[in-house]
Amino acid sequence: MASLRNHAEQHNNQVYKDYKKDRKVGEGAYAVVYLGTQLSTKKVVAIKKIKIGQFKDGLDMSAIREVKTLQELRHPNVVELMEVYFHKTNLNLVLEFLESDLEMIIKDKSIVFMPGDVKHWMLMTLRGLDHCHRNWILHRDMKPNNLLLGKNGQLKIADFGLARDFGDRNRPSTTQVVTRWYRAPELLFGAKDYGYGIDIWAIGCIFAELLLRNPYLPGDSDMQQLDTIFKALGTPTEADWPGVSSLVHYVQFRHYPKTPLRLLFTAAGADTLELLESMLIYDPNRRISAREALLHPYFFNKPRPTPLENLPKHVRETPEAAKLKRKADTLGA
Amino acid sequence: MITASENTNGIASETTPTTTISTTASTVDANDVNGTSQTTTTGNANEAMKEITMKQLYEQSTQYKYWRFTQSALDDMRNKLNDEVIASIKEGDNVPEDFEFVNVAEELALMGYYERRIVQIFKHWKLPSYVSATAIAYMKRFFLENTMVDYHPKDVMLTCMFLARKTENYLLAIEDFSSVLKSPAQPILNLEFLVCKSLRFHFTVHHPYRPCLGFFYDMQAVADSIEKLQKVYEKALTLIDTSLHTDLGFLYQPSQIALAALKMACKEESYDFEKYANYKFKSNESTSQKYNETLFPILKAIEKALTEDPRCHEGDKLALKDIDQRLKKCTELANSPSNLSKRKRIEPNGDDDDDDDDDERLDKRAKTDNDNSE
Repeated sequence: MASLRNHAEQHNNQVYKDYKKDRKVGEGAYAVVYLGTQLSTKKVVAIKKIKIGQFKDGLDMSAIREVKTLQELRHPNVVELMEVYFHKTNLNLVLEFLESDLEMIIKDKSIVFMPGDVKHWMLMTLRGLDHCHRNWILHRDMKPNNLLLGKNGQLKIADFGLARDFGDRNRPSTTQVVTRWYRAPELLFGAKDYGYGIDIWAIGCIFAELLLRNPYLPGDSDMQQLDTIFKALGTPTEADWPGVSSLVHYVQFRHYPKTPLRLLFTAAGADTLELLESMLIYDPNRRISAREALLHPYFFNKPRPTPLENLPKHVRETPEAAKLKRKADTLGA
Repeated sequence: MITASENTNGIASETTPTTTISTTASTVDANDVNGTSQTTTTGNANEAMKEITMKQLYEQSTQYKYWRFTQSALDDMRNKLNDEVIASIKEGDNVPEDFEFVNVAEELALMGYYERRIVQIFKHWKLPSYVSATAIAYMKRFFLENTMVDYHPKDVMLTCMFLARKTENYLLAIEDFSSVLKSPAQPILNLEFLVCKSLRFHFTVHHPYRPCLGFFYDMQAVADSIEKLQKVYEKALTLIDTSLHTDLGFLYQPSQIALAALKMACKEESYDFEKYANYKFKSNESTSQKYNETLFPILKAIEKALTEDPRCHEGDKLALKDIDQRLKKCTELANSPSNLSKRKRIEPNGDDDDDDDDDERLDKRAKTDNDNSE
């Protein structure tokens, strides 16, 4: 029923009219992302359009999770949700636009990382995550391509489609979260009452990836993922991780010895490895928290974090360059 | 639409839920963390790491920023909506001479009935109290912007229940939801968009349950008998259940309501509240004064509402039936052809629409661009 009295509708329309979609920049399973403009400010934004029509249960859970959490989180290292509006049967999330992400930078082998670069990226990631955790929100999908990088070098955590609150007992959570390579061992063993440790484990994997420039623990299946983890960090025992053998999906693995991290991370300093190791502790209760990690000597020791403006940037191929390249390819063929 | 009321709620920092529950997060010295940022040499990073207190954390919540009102602001909003809808119905020429319109107090009484239905049904489904509390908060927020003449509270109740199950991680498929409640699925889904818009997409609602648990833990530090304290806690939880039917959630912070409920429960269970108050809030003269001047009056006001607000009790069935019949008559009158023709209509999203399908439109544009370049 549309009427003069419909204030919510009017507000929604006002918001809708302030944004223009310019071009499609990505497409996911449930959403399409556009580059857009806020007309009143000429600000460039990202608009994530979620097609509600295709979900039989109305507004879908990922959209709800993302909107619910981002509305409450305001932090320089968390992507900002500027507005939300409905249009037709689509839900549109207006997010601040960031140029690239950490995955692009890692893959761009023309860029050399300095230890100070890695330190600043880690610092920003941990600050953003600490803010989430202080608000009792787990991200549950930390990985390099969810860490966006702005023009000015600023890093922001994005994609809260799997996020949920934690801290209440008796609220079992699904273990089917986090992209496999970054998934904590307790999730792989089926623990349902996990906490902040799963995000920290993922950050540990990202930290390692920044140092190696390759994924640290790439498993092909859940079982193989555990095997990959244990090969790298040693098979955990009840002594390392009290209660591990009573987890639902616990299976006995062959015994791998623990190899010191410095054998693989040859260029990293002692404080770097100590922090990395404390993020990859098997027992989730002993794993370092975001807050503790921020206070780790690694962040106080030299080298200092590279200033934002000097951090490596991923140079996106301009459409013209891409066209030339295509032409060259055709000629070559 | 919504303007946060000016500072009706003073004290918060000592009583915010997280302060009492979490030790790890709140014990870290702010300066330490600031120290981290100084190593980054850039001004930006410094700003990023400004330590925020638990109080500030709560003040960043959408509940604090957008859904906090004074009683008079609430009354104004509701009266204005009610006046508007009555005026528009009167524009029609078919309103009976002596027709008695539904007033704001009656609307609230009717809503109280449906609030209690939510609690009943969710209890039956064995859902935690906060899920009911969220659904009730959604319904209350919805009717600050929409009138019952346009949207019957029963329909709104169903959609708020369905939505709250999702936002609180208890999704139930729509066919199960609708078959158990014997209510068709489509109307429930149809209202979901409008409910979300009316909520301004603010799905998080903080309730007094969690801070109450925090206080319960905290009070154990000075408890003579944990068994007695346990009883006080349980009593306080039922008082919080009652508070959901009042406006307290708009007026005060969850931690303040929780503390007032515990204070009342102490009285009823003849348990010494002052001992805890002295330990927690009156350790020295200045905190003592602050407690007496700011927190104490707030607790008093909450206590008063919990004892005197008529909405703490179930309404009279016959009276509610009468209200409901008159409300349905109002809706009928509002939708009668003679009335509708006189009312200005605003169509959702207007008709200037050019992006029915964004992809298609953009693809078309991209194609034109390519054509030009070839």
